[in-house]
Amino acid sequence: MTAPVLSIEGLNARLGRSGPRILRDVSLSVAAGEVHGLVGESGAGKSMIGKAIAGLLPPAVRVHSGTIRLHGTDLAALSPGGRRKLVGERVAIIPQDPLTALNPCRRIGGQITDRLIHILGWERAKADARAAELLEEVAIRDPARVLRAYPHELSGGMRQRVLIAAAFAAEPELIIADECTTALDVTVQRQILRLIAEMQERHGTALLFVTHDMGVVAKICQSLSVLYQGKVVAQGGVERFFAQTPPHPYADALINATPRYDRPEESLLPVPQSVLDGLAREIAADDEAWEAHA
Amino acid sequence: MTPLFEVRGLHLSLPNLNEKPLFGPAPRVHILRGLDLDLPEGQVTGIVGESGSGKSTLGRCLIRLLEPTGGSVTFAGTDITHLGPQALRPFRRDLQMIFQDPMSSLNPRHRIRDIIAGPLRVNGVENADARALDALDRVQLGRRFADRYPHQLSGGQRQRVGIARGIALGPRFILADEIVSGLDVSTQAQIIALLEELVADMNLTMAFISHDLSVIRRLCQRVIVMKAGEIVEAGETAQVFAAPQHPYTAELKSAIPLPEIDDSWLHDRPREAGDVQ
Ligand SMILES: Nc1ncnc2c1ncn2[C@@H]1O[C@H](COP(=O)(O)OP(=O)(O)OP(=O)(O)O)[C@@H](O)[C@H]1O
Ligand SMILES: Nc1ncnc2c1ncn2[C@@H]1O[C@H](COP(=O)(O)OP(=O)(O)OP(=O)(O)O)[C@@H](O)[C@H]1O
Ligand SMILES: [Mg+2]
Ligand SMILES: [Mg+2]
Repeated sequence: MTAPVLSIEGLNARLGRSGPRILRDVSLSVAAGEVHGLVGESGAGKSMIGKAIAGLLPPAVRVHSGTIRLHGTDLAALSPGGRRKLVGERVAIIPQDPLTALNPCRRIGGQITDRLIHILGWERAKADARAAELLEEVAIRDPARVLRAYPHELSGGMRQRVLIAAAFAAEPELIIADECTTALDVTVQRQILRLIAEMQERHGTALLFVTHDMGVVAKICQSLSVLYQGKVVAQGGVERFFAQTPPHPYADALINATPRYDRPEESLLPVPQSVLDGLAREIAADDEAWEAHA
Repeated sequence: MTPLFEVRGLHLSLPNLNEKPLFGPAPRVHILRGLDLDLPEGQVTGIVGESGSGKSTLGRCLIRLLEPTGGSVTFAGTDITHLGPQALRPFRRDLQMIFQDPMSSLNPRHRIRDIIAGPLRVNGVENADARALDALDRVQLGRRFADRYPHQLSGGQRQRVGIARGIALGPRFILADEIVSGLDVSTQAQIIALLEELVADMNLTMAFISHDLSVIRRLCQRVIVMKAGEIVEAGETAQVFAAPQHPYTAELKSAIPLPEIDDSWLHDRPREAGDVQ
């Protein structure tokens, strides 16, 4: 068997030296051509996992233990420069907040071609042509205008698609997509999800797909990790999660909380107190084990 | 019943400065191309549509953060299309907005109580502080949050603060632009239940912009579907869902990802406009 593109083992992180634990012994791996979903409520630590891979954790967050490997290479064993280079060439990140991720003072075109020119060494004309093509692929109606526009002249969903185009531009081996379709209408969303599926077929891209939409998970992911307060409470192939008896009551609750137009009254259900109590017990037990070990 | 808002032939274009020739005027980008719509009082009207179709721009014309370049906007019987800042003042209290990203719209240096009381003081409301605390109760956050700062709240809690600020002035109309899309599903469910309650209790009229048709189906009595600066369909939500009239609406419906595994969903091509059903 070939090594997975991304593998994380036993990642532990906390706020400062003794603050709350942010990641609790997180392990997950993503193979070439696989889409691995990462779900969980707000504050669960989904974005932190992406930031840990990229080496972009906020200074207040300390990694205590764990390894992150890209194609078997332990990132911690590299020099900071070597790590930046490897991650820069092979990993693309679609960040959660499109407005802060784009430079407000630069035209869109340059922000897409940066990667192509500086990291892959393309010529400007070729990069410009590719940028226009990419905008068309992410269903932007008037690519020529958008390339010359500044971020504030675009709608929220247009900015999000610019970031998706920029991530796809360099044909990376791993894409970390953090809530990358939240601002898109469903037809454009479906088009983007198709594009992702195509990329995978063509290049075997691995994708870590952070989302809170269990509908999207059902349609695009092959495997899934469910995160609660930094702990992976359930993990595995996606079919199990949508089967009659899902592997964890919290996963079931997340599915029941998903709005659905065909059964408006049976959807949007809050997570039951009994499930929350169960999760609280799991977290407490986890803390106890951690303290005993330390 | 007369609608709270009557919009006729609404048009908005902006100069495209990026394409401005050296001499002469810049070409114009046409963003809204002649919209007609009514917003009935006491109801929630959903606005869905293609990303970039002009939903946020329409919202901004309604609450007059933008001045239309054509057509008219009538609010509670008054034509507010071209009112200047001074003439708009009395309407500001009635026309409120809740933003998508509460973090960037809440001043990080202010305590929650001041964030909510601020607009009350600006509008010369008496007992601004007491009313701010009431608003916190209404959104089920409670007064113990009054002295916190925005970064000390979770995403869902911040969104409740945004709602509290929106309702504190006792407005007649609220524009909600994508306010649940950034929230996880369990928080979404709570916020929607809260909005349903507020609309009923305060006789609010609301325009709810969202790309989530399932949320709209649940919350909105009426829905407007937009594409490329035009309204392609409008009507009762239940009806629009049961029998979409415009192919774009049908396409939207078929593109909703339900939480069920279905391999054909991703690969089925949507029906084109001219296809026979
Ligand atoms: N800059 C920071 N400094 C300290 N703590 C932080 C910082 N950013 C986030 N946190 C905390 O780390 C935890 C995990 O945050 P993270 O951003 O990974 O959540 P998330 O699962 O991505 O949530 P969301 O769905 O809201 O994006 C949260 O408890 C959050 O409060
Ligand atoms: N300040 C501006 N200057 C030029 N064009 C603008 C400006 N603001 C918006 N536009 C253009 O107006 C159109 C409509 O934008 P709007 O933000 O209303 O779309 P939307 O329907 O809200 O989209 P989304 O669902 O992505 O939020 C877009 O094509 C956008 O590029
Ligand atoms: Mg996040
Ligand atoms: Mg918008």
